[in-house]
Amino acid sequence: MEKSNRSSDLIENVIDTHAKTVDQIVENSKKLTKDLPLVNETIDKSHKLFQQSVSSQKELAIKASETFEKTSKQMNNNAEMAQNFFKQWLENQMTWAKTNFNQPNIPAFNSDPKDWMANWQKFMGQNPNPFASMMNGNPFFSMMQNNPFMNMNSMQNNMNENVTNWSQFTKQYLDMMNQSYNEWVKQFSNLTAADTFKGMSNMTESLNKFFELWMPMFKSIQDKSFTAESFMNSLNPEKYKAFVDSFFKFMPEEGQKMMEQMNTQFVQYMKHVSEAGFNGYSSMKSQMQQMNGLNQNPYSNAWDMYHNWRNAINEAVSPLTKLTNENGPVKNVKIWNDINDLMVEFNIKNNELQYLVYQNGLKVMDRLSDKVANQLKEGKTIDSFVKLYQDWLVTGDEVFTELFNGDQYSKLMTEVSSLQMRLKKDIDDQMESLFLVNMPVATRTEMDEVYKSIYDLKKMYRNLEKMFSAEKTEQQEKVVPETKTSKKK
Amino acid sequence: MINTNSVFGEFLEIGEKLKKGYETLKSIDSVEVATTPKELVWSCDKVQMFHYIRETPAKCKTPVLVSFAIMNRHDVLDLQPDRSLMKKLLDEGLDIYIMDWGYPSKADRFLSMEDYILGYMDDAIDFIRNAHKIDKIHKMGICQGGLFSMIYASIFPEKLKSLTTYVAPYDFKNANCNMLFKWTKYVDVDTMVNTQGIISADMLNNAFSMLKPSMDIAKFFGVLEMMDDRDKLMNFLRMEKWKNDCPDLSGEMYRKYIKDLFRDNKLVNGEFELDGKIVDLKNMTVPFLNVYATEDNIIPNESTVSVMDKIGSKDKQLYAFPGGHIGVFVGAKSQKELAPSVAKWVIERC
Repeated sequence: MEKSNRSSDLIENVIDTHAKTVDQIVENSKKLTKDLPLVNETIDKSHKLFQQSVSSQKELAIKASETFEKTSKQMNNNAEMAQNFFKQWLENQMTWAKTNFNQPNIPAFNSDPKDWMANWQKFMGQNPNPFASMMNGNPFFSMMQNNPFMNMNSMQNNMNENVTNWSQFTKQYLDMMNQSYNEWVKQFSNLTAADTFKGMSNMTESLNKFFELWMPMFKSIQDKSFTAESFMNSLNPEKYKAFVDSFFKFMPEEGQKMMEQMNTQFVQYMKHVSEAGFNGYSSMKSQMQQMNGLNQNPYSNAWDMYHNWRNAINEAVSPLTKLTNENGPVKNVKIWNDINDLMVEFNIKNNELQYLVYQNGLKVMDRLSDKVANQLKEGKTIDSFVKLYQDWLVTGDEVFTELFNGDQYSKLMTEVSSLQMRLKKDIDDQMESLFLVNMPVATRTEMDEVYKSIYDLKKMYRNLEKMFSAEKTEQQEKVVPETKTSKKK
Repeated sequence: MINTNSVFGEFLEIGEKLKKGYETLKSIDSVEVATTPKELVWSCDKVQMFHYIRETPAKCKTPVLVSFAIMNRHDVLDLQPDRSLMKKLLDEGLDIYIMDWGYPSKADRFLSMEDYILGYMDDAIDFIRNAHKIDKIHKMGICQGGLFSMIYASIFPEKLKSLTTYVAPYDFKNANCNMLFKWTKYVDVDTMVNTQGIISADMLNNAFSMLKPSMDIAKFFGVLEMMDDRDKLMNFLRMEKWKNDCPDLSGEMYRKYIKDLFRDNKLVNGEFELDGKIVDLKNMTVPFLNVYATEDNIIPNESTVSVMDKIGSKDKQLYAFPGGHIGVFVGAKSQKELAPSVAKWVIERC
């Protein structure tokens, strides 16, 4: 809520500052053109238009803040629901514990945990802990001294925490392993072997993220309350996104890297040029991020919204820009405006593309959770997480190849790729003309010209060489019959 | 219920296997591919041609020139001694040359399809003809190299005794038959070439990997189990080495490849131009052996097979290989059945 107000204030401030700047420009222009009533009238009209557009911008900003506020409320509701779910789960666990340890009179676990733990320890004593022997043979033994299974006697928590700790510990162990392997990979002398090891580590990383994603569901699996529906309800979008990103590594990571790089360059330049459109872009981007949920496609109208906003600005500002000379800075501002538009378009479409992948990934999860729910209903246990993950992979192949084969994805994917390249080219060109041109280095454009010249020269040389060789052969062929003729003579 | 013992035990087991994998992989100093002896006999710019060294005289005196796809290295044809199409064809009595298209850099962005087919390929073929003092040679082309060889054979049938192609795409009529075919329909190739100059191999590999998204993850479960079997592991590593060693593509060549061939299907429609001249498949009159893989998920069968009715050759044969795209070069069946059959077909036309 507070955040929403802050961003709303910020946007309003930006819009107000921008409006004041334009007011100032209008006043100055009017002073300059005081002898030209017609021009003054045009300025007044366009100024009015601009003021209208400022109001509509403000309205848009307020609406966006309201949406954010609404989203926050929704999130709070979700948190409340999760809390209720937890309470329910706790009760289920207690029922389970009471049944298992034949102590129906325990009013609540916290009242006297010792009795419960004593029974639990007794129970464990009858079944030698299989982890203990496994740990002894493990090279990471020393690093696992504090795991909950090895210190069962000192555990003062209930079975609920046991499951939680188990999953958290497993996660810590997996994280730790990943860190070690990332370090180890530096020791390889052969690149293919190193890549293979890296691939194996990546595979486990993806498996870990899958594990992490399922962690909240372990409790409900343990108390047999797991259903496909409860899975989808407790799916953590952030963790889900991290898992899918780890699977389709190339797409979000590479895209983000590039966008980060471009954003840095963009921001640097815009600091100098100070163009209102950029502020609009930033606020737009931040609003989009805030509204980026998994339940509805937030991108379908985003581009239209942005376009309307841009058109309002352009309509208001264009009469003014006609009065200014087409000098270097004005041209640059226009170019950066176009880049700005392109960047927004890329961001929207790239997000939409990723959204398609996440959405289809949910289909895969849905099918998998159905399978797990059925398995549990039949009284089967989940013995292998790797098997579960492999099931995800197989189902994923079916769903994702169907998606990738579809027209919607194909079109969008190629469009995003094209936008990305155009954006990079436009920014590279600007960097070249603004900064690199004054540096004692060859620019990309200059190098391309050199490459073209070399290519043409090489081609010409090869053609001449072939012509020369053909002529030589022809002459040799001519020489032979002449000799024969002279002999006859 | 989750069997926590079993699940955590599984993670420990993976950890153990990874540790073992680390030790095993760290002890590997080199992964050698393409070890069949050969010598460099010709080169132009970054393109080279090698001649395989024979211990015994060839059964067929007319040499064969093999060209692989430009977007992959030809090393897969000689992956390891017991999985080498080249070695097997040599053993069967052929005299073999092979083109190495090299690794184009930004400086090669203007190389066109004309440069590859009318330039490098034609020059290399002339070199062999001169060196052996013969008018015609046998030509073999694989995948994209098969398509380029078909175009060449349609322009210069007088320089070839026969043409054999493996898993080559010719007909791009049905864009819906494969994901890659579909994507090329939409891809903004002009922007791509104008902005990138050369087309990065990584980008193409990413597109290929989306044919089966889980492949790059799932295969490593198998690798975990290979750590006790060094031979199996080395086989995997050689294949990985080849897969990861992909050259970038020259932008201008790629532009024509996608627009004229993939998108407009000009070759099959009789509209394809090279250096301003129409390439007519009816001029392709040399004996033709067309090998395709029945389980090919990269080049659809219909794209390979339908060319049979378009060419001018009277002596033409279709060979259905039961397997996938890569299996044609590295599979056990390829060694046992395909290579001997192909060699026999070529020798019969010597």
